[in-house]
Amino acid sequence: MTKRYNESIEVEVVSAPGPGAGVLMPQAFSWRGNRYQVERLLKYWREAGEAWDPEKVKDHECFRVEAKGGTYDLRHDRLAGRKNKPQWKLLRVWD
Amino acid sequence: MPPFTHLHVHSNYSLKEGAAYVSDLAATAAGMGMESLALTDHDGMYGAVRFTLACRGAGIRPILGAELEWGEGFHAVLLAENAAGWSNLCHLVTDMHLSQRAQTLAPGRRPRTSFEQIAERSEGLFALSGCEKGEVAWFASLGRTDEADEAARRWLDVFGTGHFAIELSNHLLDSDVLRNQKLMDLASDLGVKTVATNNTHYVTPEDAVLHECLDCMRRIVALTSRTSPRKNSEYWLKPVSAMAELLPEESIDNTAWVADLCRYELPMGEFHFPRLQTQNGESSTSVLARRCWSGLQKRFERITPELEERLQMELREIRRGGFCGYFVLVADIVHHAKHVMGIRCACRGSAAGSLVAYALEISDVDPVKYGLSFERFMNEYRVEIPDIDVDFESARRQDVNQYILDTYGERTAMVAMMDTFRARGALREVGKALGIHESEVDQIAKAFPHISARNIPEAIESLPEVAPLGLKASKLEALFDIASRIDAFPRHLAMHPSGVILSDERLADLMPMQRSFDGFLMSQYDKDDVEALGLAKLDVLGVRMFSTIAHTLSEIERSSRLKVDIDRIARDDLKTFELIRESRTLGCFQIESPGQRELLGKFQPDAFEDLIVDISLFRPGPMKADMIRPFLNRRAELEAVDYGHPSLKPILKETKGVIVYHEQVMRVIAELTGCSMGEADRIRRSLEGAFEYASQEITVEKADPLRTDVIKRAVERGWDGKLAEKIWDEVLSFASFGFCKAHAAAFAVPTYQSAWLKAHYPAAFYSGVLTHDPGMYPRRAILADARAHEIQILGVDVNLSHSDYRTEESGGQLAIRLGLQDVKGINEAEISSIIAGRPWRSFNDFCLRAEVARPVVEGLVHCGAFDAIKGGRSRRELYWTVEQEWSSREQARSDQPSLDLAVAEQITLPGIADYSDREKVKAELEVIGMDASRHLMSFYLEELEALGWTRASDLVRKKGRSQVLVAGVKVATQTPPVKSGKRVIFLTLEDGTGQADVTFFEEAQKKYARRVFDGWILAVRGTVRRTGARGVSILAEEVIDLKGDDDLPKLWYSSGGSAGR
Repeated sequence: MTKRYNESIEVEVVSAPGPGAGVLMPQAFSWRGNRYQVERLLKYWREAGEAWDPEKVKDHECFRVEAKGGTYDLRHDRLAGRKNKPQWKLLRVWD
Repeated sequence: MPPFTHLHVHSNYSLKEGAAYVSDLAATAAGMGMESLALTDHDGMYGAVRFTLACRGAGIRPILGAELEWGEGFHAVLLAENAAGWSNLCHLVTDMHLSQRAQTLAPGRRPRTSFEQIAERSEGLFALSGCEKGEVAWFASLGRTDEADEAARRWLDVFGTGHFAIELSNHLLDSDVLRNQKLMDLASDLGVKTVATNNTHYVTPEDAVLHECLDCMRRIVALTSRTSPRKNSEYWLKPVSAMAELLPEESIDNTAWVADLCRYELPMGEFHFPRLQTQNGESSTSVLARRCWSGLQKRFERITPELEERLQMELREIRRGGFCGYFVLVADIVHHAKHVMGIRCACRGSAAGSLVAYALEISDVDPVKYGLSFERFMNEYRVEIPDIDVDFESARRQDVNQYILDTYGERTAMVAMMDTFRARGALREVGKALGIHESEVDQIAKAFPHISARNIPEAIESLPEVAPLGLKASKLEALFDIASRIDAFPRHLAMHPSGVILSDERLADLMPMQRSFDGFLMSQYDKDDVEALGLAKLDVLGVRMFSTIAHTLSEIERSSRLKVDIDRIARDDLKTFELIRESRTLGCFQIESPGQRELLGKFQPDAFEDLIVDISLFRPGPMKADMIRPFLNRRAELEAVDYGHPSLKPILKETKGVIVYHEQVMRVIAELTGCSMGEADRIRRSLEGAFEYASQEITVEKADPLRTDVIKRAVERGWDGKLAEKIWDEVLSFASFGFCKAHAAAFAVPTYQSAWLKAHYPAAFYSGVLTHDPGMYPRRAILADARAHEIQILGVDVNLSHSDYRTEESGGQLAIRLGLQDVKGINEAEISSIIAGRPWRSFNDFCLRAEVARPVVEGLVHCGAFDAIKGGRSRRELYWTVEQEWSSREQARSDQPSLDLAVAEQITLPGIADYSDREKVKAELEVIGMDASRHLMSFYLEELEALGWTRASDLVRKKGRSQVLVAGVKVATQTPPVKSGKRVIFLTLEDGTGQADVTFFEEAQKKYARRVFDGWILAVRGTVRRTGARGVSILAEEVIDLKGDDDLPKLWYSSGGSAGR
């Protein structure tokens, strides 16, 4: 069972070591007033940004992480920040 | 880093499914240190030749293949290991495109092959299991492991472990890791190797958006996140390091194994001449020689030793090059077209300089008589294949193509032509894909002249027409960005209208083919590709003048029972040259433009050879280089003729010491150095290569070594060094502008013939010109010219008009009867119905029996086609009848079918006058685009007299610098590119007595450019400039738009074709 949220979150990041350097990996995130420490990174993938807009052509980076209470999908929009939009969203939660 | 090769790569030759130029792919792969690169475009090998050349340029090895769809929509990638594999791939692609299913594909759908066909054609091919749409990967990702396993076994059975591998790709998608795991398990179970691929569609991630947009265009859907094919931007040409991070080392290493197996390369630098199939095993050399010798006897009364020697030399050269079969084939085709199909044809270009071509009747100019050189066409230094271009009647060109394809079957195919995106097309399609409203896109696209998409951003800045649209809006930025980045991308494959590949039964093994839109078998390669592959082709060119001449001849025969053998007429006819010298040459081939007519006035040609000079001189190069003036001055004996050296006199005598022809350049070089004509042609070509047209400059480092060499050899032969230098410099300055005399001589034939026909049989000639519209003028200007030559024009008549324009006896003279073909909206079936139903006794009779749509009937009424049978009624009354008739038909259709088909009784509306003269002309312009009953200007006579009008025919008597006012209907405007960058507008006005040529310089343009472009009945006040004994042009000072609020439409302008800006 998963639940979709698509809500803005605050994320603490750390730069990935070794190959894949430059990717900002979530270490912890805050959602609805709670802070979640990332315990394990399960998966990393990339999704298309908004269709056709060359401004937004950069892919979103997605992370599936384990943290307190379950498994969470987080999404990093690498361009949104320029327009004062939140960069990180919590996409869904896996129970 | 381990060696890695990208084996699954799409370029923009995947036709809207890839966004990379083959050149960028090759250069990027080479830059990343890769040693080879594959190209696997969808549905074919459109880019194979260019890709091969690009790879060679970049120093990497090309691997050729394709991604084909098969079965229910699975994809498979096939790579050619060797020639057998390539041939199999070609057959697979060709069969797939020629299949029944491929003829009726919905947009976005692909032609398909089948597993069975692939299995049958598997020899020499390496199979990759394909992307996620591959059969194995598809079942694997659905978790249907058994089916995946079964599929993999099937492929393995056909190809074996040595020629089949499972593709692993990781685009950082959600599903990739799991699928790859399953595929790896499967591979290890079966003992199949895995290879890492990236299903590359573009070079950098930034270009993902292009791919996405193109793909939506292909499928004709608007681009939204739902329709986008793009899952992310990872399908780019990644470096080894990035690939190695994503996929197991073994699969990376295996790419080198596959690359090493696939070693097929396209054979370039060899020729593939058709092998002739002769009946008794006679060699093509012998067939050619036999035909040439007997042809020579027909062409010449006496075969001189000179002729004999020349023919032997040509045959020797042709045999040495291996072209015998090719010549025989071309001769067969031309012979059949001429004598069996009755189509006028003749070759053009340097081939016309060959005695073999003349003997075989491929060409109609005697190369010995006119001093044409075979070496200009073919010599030991020319490496490319000689091309024979043959002009045929345009109206019957498709018949010729069809005949060739029918007769030679799989040994021939049409050359393709890649249609590419240009500014307007790019904007339209991108706009549609981006969901911008069609009318908005249309407005933007229309605002753009046909410029290349790359220049769109500059165009927004600089073009006055575009600025006011306010296109800066950010929404449109994406539109322009994408449109400019897909500049010159292939869009779809079209048929080259004229190129036919002539080969033999090996053709289908060499190249992929498909069907053109109208059903012709067509190569996937374009002209350049075909040339690079060394395939022989014939250019079947359509020339409207040939159709015009054919029509004229048949009209002469019809009206006077006289068969004119136009190919045997004397070439020194007085009446013809009188017409040419008076520059009454509208409608004549090559010599009808305002500039040409001005030149004819100054030149005063009086021999066929003069026409060859005239055609050669009237081109931008010689005009800019001012070659014409010295020639004309010397001819008029205003200037002494200087040959430089007596030994050059025989070479340059025909052009008064001016070097006009390539053949002369070659002979002068041969004279200086003592070299053969073949080598002289090589030097001439190198000189051409040293010249840059854009800057009109000669590159010294290229030209100097030639100079040193030539002068050294000249001095060795006893030339004075200074003199040799002087002559060389002369050669240098003309070499680049020279013209091929053989080509000019070939063109001078229809030029002379058309002038001859106009001089002797004007009515028949005009009917030919009006029917086939061969030249630059709109039909109404030709009609005005006919009227000025006192030929009566008879209007469209339902009982008397044919489809085309015909001559008709009227008052003891031959007049022109207008045809039905140009009646607005009429189609062939309607024309047939009108002709078959004759005689029409009344308008009602016509309404009852003719199968013609209402708007066309109305058009016919409007332009007077029923005037002869309408009785006392006016055209307006007939209109009423049409209304009545059609509404009763409506009624009949909605009510019970009625047997009573009688047309509503004649309606008379007493007191309603018929059309005035002005209304008649207005109607004619609307319906047939011509002022037929009288000249348009006749309505302005009073006004013009008051303004002090000078008729065009009177201009020749005006002195230089006098003030005049000319007027007329706009025939043409031209704005030729001028080196200084200052735009000049040339305007030609036609007033019923002739044409007046007007020039606008900057000052006048500022005030009047708009009026000149938009108006169509104009008067111009200006100053006379004399350009010669008969040459007059007018420097514009003021323009008056005569039409004002007038109601005469300017339809002829939009429908008149060539009168555009």
